Amino acid sequence: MSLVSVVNAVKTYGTGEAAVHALRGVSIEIEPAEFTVISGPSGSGKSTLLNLIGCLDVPDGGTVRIEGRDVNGLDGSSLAALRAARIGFIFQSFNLIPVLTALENVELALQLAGAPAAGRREKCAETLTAVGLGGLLDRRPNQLSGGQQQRVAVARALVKQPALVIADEPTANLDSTSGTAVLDLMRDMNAARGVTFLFSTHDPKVMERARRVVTLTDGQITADEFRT
Amino acid sequence: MMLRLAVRNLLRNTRRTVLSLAAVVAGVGVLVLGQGFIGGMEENAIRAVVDTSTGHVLLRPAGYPTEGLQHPVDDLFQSPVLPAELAASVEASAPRLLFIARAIHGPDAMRIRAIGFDPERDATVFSRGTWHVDGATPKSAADGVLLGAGVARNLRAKTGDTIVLQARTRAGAINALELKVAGVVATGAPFIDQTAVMMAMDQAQTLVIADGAVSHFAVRLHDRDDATAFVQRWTAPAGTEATTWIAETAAVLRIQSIRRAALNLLVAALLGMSAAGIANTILMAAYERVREVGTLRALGFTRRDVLALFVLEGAMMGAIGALLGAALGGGVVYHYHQVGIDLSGLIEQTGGNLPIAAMLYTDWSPPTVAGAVAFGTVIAMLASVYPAHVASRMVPADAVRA
Ligand SMILES: Nc1ncnc2c1ncn2[C@@H]1O[C@H](COP(=O)(O)OP(=O)(O)O)[C@@H](O)[C@H]1O
Ligand SMILES: [Mg+2]
Repeated sequence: MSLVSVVNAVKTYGTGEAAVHALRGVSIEIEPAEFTVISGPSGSGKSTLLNLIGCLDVPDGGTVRIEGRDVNGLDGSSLAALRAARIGFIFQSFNLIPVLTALENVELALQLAGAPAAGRREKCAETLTAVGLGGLLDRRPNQLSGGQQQRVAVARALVKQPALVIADEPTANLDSTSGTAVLDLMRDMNAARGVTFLFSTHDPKVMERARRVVTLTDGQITADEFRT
Repeated sequence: MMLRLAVRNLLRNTRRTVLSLAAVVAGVGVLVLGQGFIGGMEENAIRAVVDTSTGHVLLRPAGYPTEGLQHPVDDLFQSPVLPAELAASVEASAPRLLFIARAIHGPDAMRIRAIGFDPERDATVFSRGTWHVDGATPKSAADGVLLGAGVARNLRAKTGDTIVLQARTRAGAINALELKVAGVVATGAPFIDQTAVMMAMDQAQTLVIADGAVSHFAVRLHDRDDATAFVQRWTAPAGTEATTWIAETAAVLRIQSIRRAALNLLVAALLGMSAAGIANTILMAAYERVREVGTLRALGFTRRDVLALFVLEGAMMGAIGALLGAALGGGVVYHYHQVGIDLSGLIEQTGGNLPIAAMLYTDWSPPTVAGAVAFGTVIAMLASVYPAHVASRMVPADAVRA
């Protein structure tokens, strides 16, 4: 059983003349421990696809299965529970909660994943230390650089040991050096812990590190290459 | 964590939070203040009547006039002895004999209300706590009379002077006596200060030539709430009627209930404003924090969690504002409950016929204050439901990229 199985997914925004066909029948399987990039020009439907796989949205047609479960059959709170426990998100704009410290941001994710209170804080601190932020646990997001914020986001995504981490253009708002550092961090986590990563990007640095590159054009998959 | 998020979110735009709070503070503050003062005024008005002229139960001739300066002596009765089975609920009782007389001092004369009282029992039913007596309170006919301060002023009479009192006797003849002024009293009760000449019962009965007869018989109960039951069980002597403090203060209390309605209207307006303020604040927060809401949803927040977060923020704003308002309003009410407000100046200014006692003690009622706090909080909570609902309806996929 694939970790992710998308069959003929269709997503249309709007209706009639104004309808935007963001996805026109996309099928893709993702296996555990993959490090896969979805590439394609802006507007090709990358974010839409990741949002479907991340259970933030449901398709208008076709099916999306996560660990064998069809998301179309799930209600809002089951989808929320699935996201909380099984999926980690890394966003282009970091999306940390501004009123929480680095540690609290990470802890919120772990708490929502259902981890017991005992040892939770320590585990979050360890994860932040593992991404190189051991000394900045009590900083608020606005006291951190973009690269540091994205590391917090990586820690927040990884701390609950999810089945899948979805990263939508994670380096787009970072300078080249911090972008590379964050990417290497994720590559290490993939190699060391077997965490499954699914990216969208048009950053060549990300593509260089990918083991599989799926190309999306106008809402359709036009290439799917594995590298060694 | 939800609570921590809510607290931090409130602190994030302190100016806006404080503004929304202020309206709740005002609403709840005015509610607590208003209830304290109106409750106090109500009690004050009751005391003004009970402590000076009616007691809790009052016996008087049937059909006795209650308006204006009228005290007929046609239907006087003998001071009754209370039946033994009612005695247990009675704290004290005292007779009075009221009649109209003409007081003359040299060239000055005026119509007055003569009050004959029982020297032993009167103070056990009627309060003398606010009395300021210059001279002495007469204990018998030999001591003379006690002038209300306003009467003394009008007659230009002082302690030690001699005045003439002229009255119609029970039989209809005119009787006049030369009497010594034993003292001048300021009680704070206008009907005494402005119009009364008080004297021992024997002196009063001598003037109207009515041995042993009285016009009023007042009873003070241990518990004034027993008054209605007491009157029902008491067979009043023939030719008399028994009335309760409740009936005697009804007209006054009607004014208070109008005040209460006005207060409720004002509070409703203030709390309506604060509800609108809070709803607006939460709605603005919801729109400002779209991306955060999306992120929380991605992390596993359900719609219900988002709703709860925003309602919690509104409720906390309401609770803090309500507590502050209650503390401010309650502080003032509690203070004046302890020390009271001296209204004697006001009574003198209005010269008059307002039924108010000299000291106003505000009504300090912790349940009322707690109720106001709960009320303010619930209103804030309800006000935030709609904006919280708006936040909870956002589609997470769109919200995360906002
Ligand atoms: N919420 C939305 N409403 C309307 N159109 C949308 C919405 N989200 C995305 N789209 C449209 O769908 C298409 C695919 O968008 P997206 O998945 O964001 O592409 P990418 O991430 O590859 O840039 C674009 O044309 C975009 O304008
Ligand atoms: Mg995109």
